[in-house]
Amino acid sequence: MHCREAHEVLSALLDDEVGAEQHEAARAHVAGCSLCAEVARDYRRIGDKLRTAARMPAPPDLANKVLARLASEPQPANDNRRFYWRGFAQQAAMLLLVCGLSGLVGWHLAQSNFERHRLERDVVAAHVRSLLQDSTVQIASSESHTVKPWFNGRVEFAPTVKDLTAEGFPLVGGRLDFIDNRRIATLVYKRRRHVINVFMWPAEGQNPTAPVASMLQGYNTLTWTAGGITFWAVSDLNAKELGQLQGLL
Amino acid sequence: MDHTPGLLGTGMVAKTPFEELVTPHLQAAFNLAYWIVRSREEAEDVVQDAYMRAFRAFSGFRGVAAKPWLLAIVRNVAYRALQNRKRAANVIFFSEDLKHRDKETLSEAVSAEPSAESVLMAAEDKQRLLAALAALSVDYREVIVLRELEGLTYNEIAEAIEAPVGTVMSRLSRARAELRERLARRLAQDEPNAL
Repeated sequence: MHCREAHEVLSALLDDEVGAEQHEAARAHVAGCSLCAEVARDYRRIGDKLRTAARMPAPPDLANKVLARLASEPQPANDNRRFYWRGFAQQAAMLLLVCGLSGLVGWHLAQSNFERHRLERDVVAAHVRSLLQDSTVQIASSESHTVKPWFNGRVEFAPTVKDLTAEGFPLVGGRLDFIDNRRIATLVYKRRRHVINVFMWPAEGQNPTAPVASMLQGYNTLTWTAGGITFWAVSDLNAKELGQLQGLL
Repeated sequence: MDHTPGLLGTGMVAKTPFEELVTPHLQAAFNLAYWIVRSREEAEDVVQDAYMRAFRAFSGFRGVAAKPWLLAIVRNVAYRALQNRKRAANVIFFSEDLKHRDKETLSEAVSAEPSAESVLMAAEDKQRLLAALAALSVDYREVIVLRELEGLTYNEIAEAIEAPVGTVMSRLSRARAELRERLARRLAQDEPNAL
């Protein structure tokens, strides 16, 4: 990697938001390049200084003011609420606001469905890619005590690792993947001759969600959220047995 | 009002789900509002209006992270306040006003409750830093505030500013470069190794 490329990802590197492929190359470059290292150091120091100096403390009575306004909310208008606009501008702005908010809500709903399809494409592609490699795993072990610590420092969360040999789903091992612009943990299980990839990353909300089964390019997929982690299981195994694995994890 | 301190998190009972989710972010809301409108009084109004809107929209909130959701509302209200200010003010008058405002808010920021670390930072140094941040365009400034002060992830920032993650990444990168350059330019003159 050259300085110009490194410079483009330097800021994201500090925030740990660089993709896995670029991450190593960028880090190696910064380690060996005094110029880029200096820029990185400056960025970090400016960030530190901003944190100590630039935060504006909220006025102590702001919380009470907000609460007082919230308490007056169910009453109809013409109380002492202050707006920045009057008359026509007020109506127009309210209309815009309502449109904006309903748009936002609709966007959120549509987004979650769209998200799921996009992620499904990504995880199925990652599944197929893993089957094209010489090995589906970077750490090969059926010991959960070996596989789980391997992820320390490689991903930013503790993945759920269980050896399910007794239940007929032997653990093959684990590897890193890159989905949705971040490094994620992947575990590989087997069922007879079928390879099952289980992709995991930190969930956006803490609420568990029920499994959603689907099929893409002949592969069965199953996604759910539990314990703050979003799971995606992908395999050519039948949907019923894939559901069993979900129950065990 | 017996119920009031609940908002401050002082352990009052019977917090509504709305309060529980969004009140911990009051400080963040104020901070973002301030750095967009750059006036404490206006930032207070912005936060109050934003909380009213968030409250009304809350039934439509489907439990993604509350902080970026709330900050997106704060940001929209703050931008609207900026537009209103622009519309209200005569253009020439406006720039005068802004100059004055900058001076005023900067000295406010400098004197605001110093923490142990910030005492160590020379007041002059701090003022430069704040001036450099204030001099950034608002779309750069807001990503710096959301990342460096509020510690949001890129995904969360993307949600708060309603832009793709790639945009967040490139804006932050450019904003940091610009901040560094502004500071380096000034510092190079009197204290070359200050940063």
